[in-house]
Amino acid sequence: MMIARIRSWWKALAHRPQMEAEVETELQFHIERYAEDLVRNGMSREEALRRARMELGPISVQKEESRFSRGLRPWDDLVADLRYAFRQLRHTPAFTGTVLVVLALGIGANAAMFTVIDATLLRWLPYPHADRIVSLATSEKNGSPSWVFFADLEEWRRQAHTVDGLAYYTDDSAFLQAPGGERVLSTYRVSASLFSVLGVPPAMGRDFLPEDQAPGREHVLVLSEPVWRSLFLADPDIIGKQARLDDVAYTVIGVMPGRFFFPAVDSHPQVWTPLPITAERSKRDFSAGTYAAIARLRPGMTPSMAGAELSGIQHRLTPLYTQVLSRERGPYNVTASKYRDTLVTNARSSLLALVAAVAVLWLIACANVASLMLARSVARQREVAVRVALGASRWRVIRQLFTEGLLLSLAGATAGLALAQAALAAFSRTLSSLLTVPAHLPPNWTVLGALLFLSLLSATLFAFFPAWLSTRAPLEPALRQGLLQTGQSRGRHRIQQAMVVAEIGLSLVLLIACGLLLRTVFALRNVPVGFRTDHVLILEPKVPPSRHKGVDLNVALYRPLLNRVKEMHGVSAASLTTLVPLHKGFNSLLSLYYGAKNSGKEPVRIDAGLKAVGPELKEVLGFRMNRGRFFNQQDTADSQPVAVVNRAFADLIAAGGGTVEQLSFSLGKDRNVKIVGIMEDFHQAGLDRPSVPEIDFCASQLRPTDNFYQPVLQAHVELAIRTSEDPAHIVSDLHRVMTDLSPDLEAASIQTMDQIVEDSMGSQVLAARLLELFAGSALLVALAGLYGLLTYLVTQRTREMGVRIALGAQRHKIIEMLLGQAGRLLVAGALLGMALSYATAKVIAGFLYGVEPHDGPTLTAVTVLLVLCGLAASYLPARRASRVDPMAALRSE
Amino acid sequence: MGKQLELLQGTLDMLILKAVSLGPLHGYGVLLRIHQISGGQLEIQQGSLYPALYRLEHQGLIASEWGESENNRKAKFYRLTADGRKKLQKETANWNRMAGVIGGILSRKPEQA
Repeated sequence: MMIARIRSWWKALAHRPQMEAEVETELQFHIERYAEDLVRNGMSREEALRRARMELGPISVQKEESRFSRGLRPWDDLVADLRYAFRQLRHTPAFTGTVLVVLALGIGANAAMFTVIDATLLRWLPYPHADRIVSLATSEKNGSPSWVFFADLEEWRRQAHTVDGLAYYTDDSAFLQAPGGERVLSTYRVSASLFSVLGVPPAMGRDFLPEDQAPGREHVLVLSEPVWRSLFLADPDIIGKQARLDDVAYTVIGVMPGRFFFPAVDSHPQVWTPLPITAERSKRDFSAGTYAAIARLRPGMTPSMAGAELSGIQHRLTPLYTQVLSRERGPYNVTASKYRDTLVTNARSSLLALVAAVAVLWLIACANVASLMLARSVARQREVAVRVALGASRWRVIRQLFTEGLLLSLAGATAGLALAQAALAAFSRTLSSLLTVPAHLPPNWTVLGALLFLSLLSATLFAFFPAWLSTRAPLEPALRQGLLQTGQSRGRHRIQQAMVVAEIGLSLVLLIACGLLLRTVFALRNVPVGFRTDHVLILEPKVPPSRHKGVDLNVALYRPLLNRVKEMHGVSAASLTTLVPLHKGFNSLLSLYYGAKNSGKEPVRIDAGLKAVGPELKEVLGFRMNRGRFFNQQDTADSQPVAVVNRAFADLIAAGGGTVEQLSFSLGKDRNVKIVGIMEDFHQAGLDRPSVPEIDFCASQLRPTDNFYQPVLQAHVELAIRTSEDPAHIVSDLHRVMTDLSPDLEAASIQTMDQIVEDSMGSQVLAARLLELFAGSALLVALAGLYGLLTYLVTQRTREMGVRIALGAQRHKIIEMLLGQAGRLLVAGALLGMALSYATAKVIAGFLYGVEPHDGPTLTAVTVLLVLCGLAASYLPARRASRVDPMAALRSE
Repeated sequence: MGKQLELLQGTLDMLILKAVSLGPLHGYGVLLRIHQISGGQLEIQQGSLYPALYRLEHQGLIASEWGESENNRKAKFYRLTADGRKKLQKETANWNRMAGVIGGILSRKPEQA
């Protein structure tokens, strides 16, 4: 029965002309036969035919019935509605255009946010049941989370019941040489269990086995699919072949499926190799390495349950730590959080706040379109009345008006989607660096589905209610002429006013938020950094360390480079340093406990930034010393090694009961370091964050055999250059000097210090820019709404104006009256906006720096701006009202 | 032709099915046959015939075929399908039962209430 239905339905739909021809033939036959019978009974032929046709009814009705009996009525109605809506909208281009623009703004902003949210908070992970994968971290009693020791991981694996499997990994970068090319890759040293915990076996070859983690057996490699394609030319016999990683031979044992990646924060090509378990690594000692850990929850378990169980196990393990202080303060608590959640921690709250801002913009757009639709519905009241009088059901009319709204909504959404893509492309650089998403964010089905839903919701909001109101209006007055002059019902008028007030209020909220953020950015820009940022270039050589295995890059490359740069024309000072302040991308920490004996004070934990800097850095960056001296020419490779610390460090030492003069570090045999000076604090981590304790060694004194050499001079090095003229002029000369020295320096990046400072404020600047866009759009839309409403009112009351003027009212009084009306709406909206802003102050407080959410000056300034703009927008309609020709107005009846 | 009785839509469907069950018919033929087997008591309103036929065809209870009429003119013939036959039996049984129940109610004498 079902198949028959579908078949006949399809026939009616797709083969309409054929079906209608059949119906016609059939009915013709019927008429003929009936006529013949009538003739047989004595009627004349014409009379018989007439009678037959009359009794059967019009053929067109029968055709329609044939369609309806097949259930095609809804479809036919929809097509008719769409055609009608299209025609109507085309006849009023101004209205349609305005609505499309407003909706494109309101819905487009949402489309952009959906795409970003989808790529970040709802990110797709290529692991089955990805929500069960948790990230594990240990922390001290009141400390921040950090990576886990191997020995602890083993105990957890043995004892835990809440998790089904545990894996660990550490990141590295290595230089891969393969038949298809060579490049630096993200190389992950992992446990053999990694892929089974993630639930994704290799597509080719085999997974790691526990034996692969035995020392000496770890030279096997699993490739990611993009690496296999590009560097190994998609070789189908890749398994068993060799490649050189950091100049060591590895055997390829597997290739992961396409679209697989782990960890998820890294968008570079990845390969994985087993982590050998050495005796060193198994110690419970701070010299053993730590690893990032993940686990898969057993079904029914939650992250907090896993965290609680593992914490319990860990409490019993902490006493096993060998060093005294770590027994008391070793890794104690374990936190488990969903892996997906760890990917965007710091941006999460900003994203959610932006979602709120975008939602507000959408509401404003809908309110605006609603009032426009209301105004339009009044103009079309006659049309609706006629249709109802002719017998259309109320529901049918509402449906048709709603279809118009839906058509507008979908068109606006499509335009909005295009706008969103453009905006995302414009912001892609900032977004991808802040949120670790790929630079290109195309919309996908989830986003499109959400947009469709939003369009439906919008149409319901702004189209349904006016449509419903239209059909409820009394028919008779509408059918008569002169409706336009008798004014609309009070109810509708009040609703329109309410819409405008709401729009103004919501715009004010966005404007206030924008204003506060702009002040934050301004405050951040004016924070005294603590050093000079003008005329400073930062050079970051990006030489893969494995390219020069066994060679000390510092001696071979960087020091000669430094010397050459110092000799360049236009350079007044240059220095090597591990990392300049406010620069992201590398961090070396020295963790120690300091407690002076017999001081009675508790040992203090110090996590100090560890750096090596050359003696000229003070000249390049221009920071000040608090006490003592900085490095100078007397600190050579043969004199006693010296170091400086900053005030934050010195304060912590004082809190531990000692002084920096009492400190002594050892770089090796007979090489004890003395601290000779204390620098004034400056911001290293961020302009809105306090100074981090720091200890700097003298770069020119360090030898490759020294204890701290590797993290400060080998892992990462930058060159800071102070120029005597505009830094941009020197850049090309710098490039020449670099490539002359070595072709490996071609990939080096050169930035000005000002750029680095600006990048460090990245998220606030982005938020401020976005809010400028949103608040600006909101203001425009609200003003357009106000203007539209007033224009409409004036048109409605033309006759009244005419009478007033004829009775002697002065023109400027009329303007005053109308501006007064507009002013009342503005004030009401402003009060609403301020109330809303007050209520949501907490949401925005977290992003601000240097300004309170209830900041008086900002609120006042923004409100005054809004009121002035509003009055300006109202002036034109007011003037038009005053220019009404009384004779023409009174005559138009 | 006797007095026209009011017909409900469901009843019309049933009558058409019955008429067609006695042999394939075109639309006009259905009209004639119903008139005939009702003993001249029932005349179907012509305007509602074809919508009913199309509806029944959409539901798969009757099937149509183009053929030639008695005077060699092209006409569409309808015949009963297996589903239609089942439906007709079901509806007939329902109708008879209903008629019995209602008849019983209507023939109740006051003292038997």
